[in-house]
Amino acid sequence: MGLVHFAYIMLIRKKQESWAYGFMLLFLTMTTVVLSDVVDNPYIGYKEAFSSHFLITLIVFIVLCFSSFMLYFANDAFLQFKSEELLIMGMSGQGFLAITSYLWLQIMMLLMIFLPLGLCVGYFLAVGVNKIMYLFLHIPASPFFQPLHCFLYTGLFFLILIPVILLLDAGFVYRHNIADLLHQDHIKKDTTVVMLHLPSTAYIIVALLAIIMFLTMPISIENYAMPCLIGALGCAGLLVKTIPHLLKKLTSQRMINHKIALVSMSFLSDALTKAKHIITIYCITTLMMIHMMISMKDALRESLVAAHAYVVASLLLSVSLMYLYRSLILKRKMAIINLYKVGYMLDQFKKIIKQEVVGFFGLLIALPGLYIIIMLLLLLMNHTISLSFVMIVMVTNILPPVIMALMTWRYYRQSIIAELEEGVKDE
Amino acid sequence: MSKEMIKAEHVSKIYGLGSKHPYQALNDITLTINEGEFVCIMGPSGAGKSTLLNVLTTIDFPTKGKVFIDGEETRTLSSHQVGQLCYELLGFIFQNFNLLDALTVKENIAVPLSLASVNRQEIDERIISITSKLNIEKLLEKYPYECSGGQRQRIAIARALINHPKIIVADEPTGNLDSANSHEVLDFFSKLNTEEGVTILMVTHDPLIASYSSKLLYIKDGMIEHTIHKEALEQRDYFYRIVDINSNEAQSYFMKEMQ
Repeated sequence: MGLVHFAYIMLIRKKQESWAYGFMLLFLTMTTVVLSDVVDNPYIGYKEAFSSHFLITLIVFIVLCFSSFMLYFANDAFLQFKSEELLIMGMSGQGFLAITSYLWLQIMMLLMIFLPLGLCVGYFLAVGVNKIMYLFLHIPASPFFQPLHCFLYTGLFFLILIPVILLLDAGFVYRHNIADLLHQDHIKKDTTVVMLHLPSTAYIIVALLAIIMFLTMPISIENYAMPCLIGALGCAGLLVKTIPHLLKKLTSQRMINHKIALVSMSFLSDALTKAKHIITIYCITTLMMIHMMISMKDALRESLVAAHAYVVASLLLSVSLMYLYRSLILKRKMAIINLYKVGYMLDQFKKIIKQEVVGFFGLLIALPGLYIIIMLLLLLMNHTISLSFVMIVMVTNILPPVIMALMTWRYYRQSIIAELEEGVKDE
Repeated sequence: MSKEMIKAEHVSKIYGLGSKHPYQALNDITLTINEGEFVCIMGPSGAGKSTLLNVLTTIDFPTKGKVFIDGEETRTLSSHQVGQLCYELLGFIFQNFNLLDALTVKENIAVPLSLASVNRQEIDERIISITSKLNIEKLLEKYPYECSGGQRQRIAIARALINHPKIIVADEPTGNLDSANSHEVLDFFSKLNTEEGVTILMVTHDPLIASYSSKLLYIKDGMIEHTIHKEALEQRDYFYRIVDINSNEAQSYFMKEMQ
């Protein structure tokens, strides 16, 4: 079979994992093409604005950073799925080079399929975006024209990112021996929190402080930068520290006899803690980008770029969260099988999964959403923004996490419930 | 005199070195496993059985001390050399079988040879030979998830043996099997050991399974507390000695309780 054939066979036979990674590559290529088109389109004239306007440069940079995050999380999930294969390769006498080459070959194969596909789909998506932009900006140009640069930029973006991912994969293989792969639950060691090290209750004060600032400051978007930032840090802290801490207390003290809530809330607490970095980024991005979008609203061109970047960032972060959740589910499989063995029923698992997923994505929408609503309502009352703008922002904020929640829930059911329905294997 | 297959010199393993709570899993272990020996490692939970097995077989590396496999010190080898050593000398079998559900039984067994680019004809010949010995030749086109626990363990054994290793490394190989399947696996190991001279290193917690071995290492708190040689003993008498060693632990606990 040889290494290349083995890599190919495993990629083909493990369709679900390959598609998940391939879909991410497709999505990333598409969004990069569209973003490059928006920035580099001579009819829209952003290129000039791009060089002079710091905020647009910043927005594009942020979106590209999120694309990198997304690739990182998707790659991490991909590696978790590959652990068993890597273990067997190690047991079969394959060394670091062979195992790394195996991963690289699979990634290259996926790139060869999904990169050109992403460029094609991205082109047509950009046509749609151009149509909308030309309509708003009253530009009489063909939406089908796209500068060659947008494809070159996409290529360049991948040229930089892919070696980084390949190095990360090589690092993963280097750091994990057979013993680690045999006990893959321990693969990911807990790292220090990016957040400030405050006691969990302190975040309640930070979160409340932001609300007070919103309500007491003179209504103006310029004044809201600081409350947005404090609010973002506050709700990130609530999500990754205070709420998991409270859930742990609740489960150990009050929910000990609640069969479903005991497990679902423990899982929720675990998910919030494990996703701390991405949740923090999500909260800061959502609030700050909405603020940026509103502050640019008088300049139509810039405002459209900001809106576009906001939608892309929101989608990228939601998809990253979904990938992170997928690898969490994979690691949780054995715990669920053990719970099944001690008497939990399938219907109870369905409820547990529902509660956990709804809880996770619900909190993710609700907490930053609270600040967004406060800010938007204040600005609406002050006639700074229109009701339709409020509606669009809210839908953009809610829709991607809702879709990802549904996809996560579906994946959870497919990968665990479906297996339990077939009967637990001896493994 | 038999050749030394595995040799450990003052081996210690400490987890979390440099952290607040380092944990010493193995403490100054020195031992030799000769070619053709069937060595079993036993001991209470957390004694360091699997750690010792891992450290002796390149799955893990010692924090202190030296491990030699077929004369090569494992820590001085490059990753490629370790891989080569694994391929040429070692065959691994674990409790969880570790089979790839995406591959057929035949493909699973062939993985080590395929990755080493052995030609197809030789792979087929070796698969036929090993699967007929293990009575799994009819399962070749099936997938692991279509097989029973006993069959899956035999598939894992076939994969471990396909490259004719000199040492079989088995960590609780019967942990997921019923009694009948466990004894079938052990009978096969015994045959492999006596007829083909394959060295076997196995971890188990079951005295009956351990009674198939020729030497037993009883470890406790990361140190070898007893070594029993089967030598001229019948399997039954050897089994009772193993039970005695294991029950000493419980007896000393009750003695303390009574005092």
